Amino acid sequence: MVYLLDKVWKEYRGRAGVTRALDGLSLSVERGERLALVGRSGAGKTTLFRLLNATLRPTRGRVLFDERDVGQMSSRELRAMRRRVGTVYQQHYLVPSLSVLDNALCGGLGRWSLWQTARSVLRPERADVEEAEHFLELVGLKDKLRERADTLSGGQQQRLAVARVLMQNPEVILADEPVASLDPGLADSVMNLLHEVADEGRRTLVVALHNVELALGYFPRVVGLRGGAVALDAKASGLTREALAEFYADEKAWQQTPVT
Amino acid sequence: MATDSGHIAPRSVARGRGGDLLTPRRVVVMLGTVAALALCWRAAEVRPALLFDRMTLAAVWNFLRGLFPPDLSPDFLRVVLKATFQTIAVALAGTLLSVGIGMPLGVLATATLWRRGPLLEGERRGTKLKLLAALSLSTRALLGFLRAVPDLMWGLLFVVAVGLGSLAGTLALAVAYGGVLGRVYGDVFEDVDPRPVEALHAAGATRAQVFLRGVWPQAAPAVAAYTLYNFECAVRAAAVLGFVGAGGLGYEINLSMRLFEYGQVLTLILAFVALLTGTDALSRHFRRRLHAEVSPASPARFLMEETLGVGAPPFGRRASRVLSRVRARAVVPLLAFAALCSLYAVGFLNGALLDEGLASRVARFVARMFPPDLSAEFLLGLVRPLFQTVGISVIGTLLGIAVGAGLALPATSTLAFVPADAAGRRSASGLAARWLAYRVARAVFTLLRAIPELVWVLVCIIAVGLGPFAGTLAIGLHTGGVLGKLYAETLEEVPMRPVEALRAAGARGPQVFLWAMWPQARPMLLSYTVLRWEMNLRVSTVLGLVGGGGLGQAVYNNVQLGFYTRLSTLIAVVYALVVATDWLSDRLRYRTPDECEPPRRT
Repeated sequence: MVYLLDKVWKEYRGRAGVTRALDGLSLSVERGERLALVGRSGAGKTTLFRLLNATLRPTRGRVLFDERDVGQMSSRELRAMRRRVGTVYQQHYLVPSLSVLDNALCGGLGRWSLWQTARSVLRPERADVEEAEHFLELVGLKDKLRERADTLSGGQQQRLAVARVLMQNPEVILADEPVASLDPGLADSVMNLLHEVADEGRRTLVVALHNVELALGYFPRVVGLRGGAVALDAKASGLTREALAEFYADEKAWQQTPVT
Repeated sequence: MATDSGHIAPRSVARGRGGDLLTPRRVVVMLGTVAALALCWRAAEVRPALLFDRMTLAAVWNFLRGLFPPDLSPDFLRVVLKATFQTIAVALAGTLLSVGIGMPLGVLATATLWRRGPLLEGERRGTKLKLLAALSLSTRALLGFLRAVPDLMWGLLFVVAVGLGSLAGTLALAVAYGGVLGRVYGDVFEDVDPRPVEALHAAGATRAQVFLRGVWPQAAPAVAAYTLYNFECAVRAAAVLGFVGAGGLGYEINLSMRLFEYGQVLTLILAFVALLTGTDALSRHFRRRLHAEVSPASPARFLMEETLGVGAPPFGRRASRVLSRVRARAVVPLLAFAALCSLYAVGFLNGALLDEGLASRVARFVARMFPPDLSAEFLLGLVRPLFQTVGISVIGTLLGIAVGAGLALPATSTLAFVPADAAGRRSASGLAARWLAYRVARAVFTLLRAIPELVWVLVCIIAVGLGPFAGTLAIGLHTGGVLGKLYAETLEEVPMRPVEALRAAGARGPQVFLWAMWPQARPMLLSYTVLRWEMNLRVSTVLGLVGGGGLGQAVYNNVQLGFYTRLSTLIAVVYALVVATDWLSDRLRYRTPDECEPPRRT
């Protein structure tokens, strides 16, 4: 088992009071599993992702990664864990002023020393560059190596984000709505790419999606979030499109619930 | 408010009805303001009659006559050249050291690295993290202190600590601008897009790696631009620091003034203005280039446009990039060489100095400042100079408003000139008069602005003698130039459609101004003025160093007498005063949230 979440709560304290993003969520994910995460905006998907890649602490409850409690890890252990979990974010998570190649190389930061990083600013190591170029070729960006990341189109940026994760070489790949801003053809190519990558190293793949078709078409397991808890967890083969549409249509309590 | 039920009148209309113009609160505020102004007037020892005294006029005439012809003898030009280079060296070396101080402090002060945000939300809040957060907060406070004490005050302190000369000036710039840069760097680092930073963090990068690959690439152009801008300020400050004995142009101006060699003074001032203009043009050129390098989506770009007033680059971004990269390669070694030269010139790489132990001399001086003198007698004696300082800044600013506002109207091109294709007859003589008034007003602004407050103090001392009145006049003259230019530019930038509409309806010049320009420009004008007052207060704490009254006078006296324990008290008082003014000025400027905030210019 890669992940085990046991009754996890997450509350944010803001100016408008406390907002509950996760409300006693429990979930387990097996190694090598392919899982689509669906739910409305505000259902808690992004918060769940941040728990899964250990950039956020739950208010209550435990998150186990590889049978170890994330809450008990030291910062060194947390970094080691983050290295094993790669995240493909939505747009704008690339460093805009760095080149495509440099952005891809950033995936390697977790295994580099500070000295190596400093040196890579001036002249990255041959082997690293070759590796990054290989991945950029895989995602079809080989001819854009020297361009700045902010000059790329939305689809190209998304593929660059995938290349960065490949460079990281993680055991788990998390993707937070990776196709939200792409047209259907590009969306398919990015989904295929993610699956190819996952197939290659028997990696676990968790993808948050808005698109019902893609969720059913690409993933054997679909988990639906509503109001910060799991409201649906089923095999895709047993799910009809209507059942999923009904899940989305249910208006009750899909928003984050204000507590005070 | 006098509004009909359910109908919200525009604010100006609601105010114009004036049914409750005289609320008790307003009456109290008004009376309080009048009383405060009267106190300030007394404290600043303003004596208008003195201005028109025969002796005063004779002294000013004598001074003006003495300015011409400027001394252009080869011997003196050599002195001017040497002083100019010394000023440049002090500014360069000071900027270099201030970057060395500001960069680490700025990184430490960055809240998003140590105190809040995605980098910390996944960590366990252990002792180590808490300590780091506390360190970060105290760094911020330290930067605030370094910034609040005026650079001239630092200059005087270092002159006492390490002796007369350019080394003291360099150290003063390093500390004062280290505080400024540290704060600015911290703000720039905090304002970068947090999303790429989070992505690198999630990939297992350490904090240092996140900074190097996520924060720095986004912040670098803004950091460079601010540093350049800071160099511009440092050149001005380096010249002025000479007044307290730190060498360079200021020292020579002070000396020539005291020797009544006014022809030399004019030459020196011309050199000073030329130096400032040159630096300004150079820095503006590079800043425009850097501006093009910042990603359009980045908040840093917005920040740069707001504070630096840098417009779009003249060339396309792509086209200029290769070229700028080649140039950047050449600029770095060139800069390094210049910096080394300047460090050598101000005596930093001088072996003898290092042997003597610069640090130990500074440490000994600091030790002599403690414990601060808190005796009731001394503290009570500070009340008068404290009031003087506030009075000088307030009355000086008011004087500046009067001068600036009076000259701003003819200096506003949209008011002074009617479009060439406007209907109606116009007389050639009327046009010529307007054109002349416009040119004269603009020239007066340039003159008043270019000459630093401290030089104005020396001039005013010739006219009205030592004391706070000279300081008040000096601030008034310099501020008049600064505010006049800002006022005119603000009025020119007002949206023109309402103006045209009123003109079309037959309104005359003054009516157009009152009903179309003033209401639109009011918040900006107000804000600029309050900001200027805030700066003037800082200046008025140091005017006394050259005889302009206020707290500076007390500082100067106690330095001369060697009462260093009193010096630390005085620094604390200046710090408190500056912090209080900042707070008040922020409150005055942000009072009405619907009114826009103009860029902060220093």
